[in-house]
Amino acid sequence: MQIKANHLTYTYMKNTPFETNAIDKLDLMIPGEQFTSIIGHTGSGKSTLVQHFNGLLKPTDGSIKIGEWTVKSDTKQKLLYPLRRHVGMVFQFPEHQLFHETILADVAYGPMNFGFSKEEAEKVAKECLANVGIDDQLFDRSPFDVSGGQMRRVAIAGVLALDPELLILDEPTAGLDPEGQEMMMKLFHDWYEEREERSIILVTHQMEDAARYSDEVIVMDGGNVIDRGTPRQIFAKKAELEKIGLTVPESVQLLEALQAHSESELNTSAFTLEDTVESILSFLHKKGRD
Amino acid sequence: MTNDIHVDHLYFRYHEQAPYVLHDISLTVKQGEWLTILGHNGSGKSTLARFFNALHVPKEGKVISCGIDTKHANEWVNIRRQVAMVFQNPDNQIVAPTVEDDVAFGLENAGIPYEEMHERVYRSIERLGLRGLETQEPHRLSGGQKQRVALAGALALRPKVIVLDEATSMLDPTGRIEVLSMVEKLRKEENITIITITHDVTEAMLADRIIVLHEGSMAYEGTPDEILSDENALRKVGLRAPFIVQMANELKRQQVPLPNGVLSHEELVTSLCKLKPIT
Ligand SMILES: Nc1ncnc2c1ncn2[C@@H]1O[C@H](COP(=O)(O)OP(=O)(O)O)[C@@H](O)[C@H]1O
Ligand SMILES: Nc1ncnc2c1ncn2[C@@H]1O[C@H](COP(=O)(O)OP(=O)(O)O)[C@@H](O)[C@H]1O
Ligand SMILES: [Mg+2]
Ligand SMILES: [Mg+2]
Repeated sequence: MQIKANHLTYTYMKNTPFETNAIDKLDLMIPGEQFTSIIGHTGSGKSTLVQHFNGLLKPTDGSIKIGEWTVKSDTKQKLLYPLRRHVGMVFQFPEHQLFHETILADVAYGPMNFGFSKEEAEKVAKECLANVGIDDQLFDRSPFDVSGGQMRRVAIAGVLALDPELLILDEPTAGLDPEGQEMMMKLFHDWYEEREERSIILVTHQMEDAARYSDEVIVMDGGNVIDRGTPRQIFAKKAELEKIGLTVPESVQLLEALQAHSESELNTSAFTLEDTVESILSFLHKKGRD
Repeated sequence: MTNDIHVDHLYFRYHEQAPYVLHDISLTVKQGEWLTILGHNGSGKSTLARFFNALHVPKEGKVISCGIDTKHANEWVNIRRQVAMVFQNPDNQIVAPTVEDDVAFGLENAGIPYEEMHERVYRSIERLGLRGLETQEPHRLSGGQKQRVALAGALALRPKVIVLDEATSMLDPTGRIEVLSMVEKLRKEENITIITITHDVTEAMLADRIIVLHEGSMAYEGTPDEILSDENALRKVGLRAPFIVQMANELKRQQVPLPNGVLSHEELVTSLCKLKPIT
């Protein structure tokens, strides 16, 4: 699903002394069918921007086009309803939005709300729960009686149950332990790979995830997009990123330090353990200057 | 050296029929030490931490905080003043409309006289680098600043121990560094005992000693060098070794003769440069 922002501005607390433009006259096009990451320090406007992508926020000024839907400040709420059917959103700490008696009912809620019969909705819910690794023994339990990691999976199953075309993930792994983070990212990536015509937009502070999974990385600062490119292009700009409070993946930090210390050229855009090892091995095997 | 926290054969479950979430925990935290409690989500870290300042009191086992057995209900206020806590979510622990009021809040509860309160509040604000923000609304601060406000509130109590329960896990990398460098400073300059609770191995590197909890039991105990260099042991308890450790191990598997115990970027870079043939 393609996204196109046209002079998009969003102002919090308009007409008060606290008025802030969280997004400021932004022009942006994000192509569909790609895995896009948005990075930027806290307060740079990432969450405000992505909440426009499923109509949770309407522009104060300018417009945003998501697939075939255009949203402006005066767009009727009713028109945003079908948009939310197609654009799924996983917030930070999505488990805070669970509220049903049982895990199954929580996940079936979305599809039922969009017109599925109870049987259909539960069938979909069961599939989605299985996909996120929730055992059927847990289906009748309260979502509040399982571990934090499981709660988050349930919440995510609820979003996937609507079979969205575009999945927006706003810091989805915050607070999870390393194993939980790894499993969660793999889940999203598999979801994206296994289906046709799907897009993911991931907001993250984990530069490793942005580097490893994205086709394109978008850099935000002060309510605007200040750079974009492939992970390789973006994470070659360590100094620029540090200036706006960001870092490069640890693998890149290591390879750049090695390059500086040894005064020899090496491939510094490696984002996995294997690629980093390979770059170091070829550095070691290459003879130094005579 | 005296112990600030002493836990002896502690067992705990939330209800009579529920499974135990802490099994036979025994540990001591020395005065001035930085201890990290490392463990996966649900391993029992927060539950254990609540015993340190008598938010939980043992039915089975014993906890002595700053020399006082926590079973004595009349000592709880005193214990909580000496063992301060900072929690994960900055938004849930801010209670007052301005930074200075928020820092003063705990002192008001503790019944400190006005003059002294004033002095303590401004000293804490100063120590945490929050000067100039005294009259700001806490909600308008960054995550790192909010957690510094929470730390200033803790420091104003003049505690012997500060426990940080995943206090950096909701912050961005800059906020994380901001808070941890303040913690380091409080330990050094105020001689406060620090207990950090985390699943972030990079944060654990800062500690003097680490204990690893796994499903409510103490799985390992040791220095950061010992604990963090054991990739397999960490994986078994749902954690991951620091990136540098994983790199060093993988390079060794590829026959690169690296020394043992490489934990930092600098160490790895220096070792690799030594191995590079010059001509
Ligand atoms: N509900 C809100 N009310 C007022 N200001 C807000 C609100 N949410 C965000 N802001 C402000 O808007 C700016 C962008 O915030 P946000 O979109 O949350 O950034 P990010 O997700 O990159 O951290 C910040 O200055 C923030 O303080
Ligand atoms: N208030 C509570 N009532 C019942 N069970 C709880 C409560 N708080 C935590 N638990 C359970 O105790 C175990 C340990 O939780 P916790 O101490 O919060 O772990 P951690 O802080 O390591 O993530 C988990 O299985 C959790 O579900
Ligand atoms: Mg955000
Ligand atoms: Mg906890």
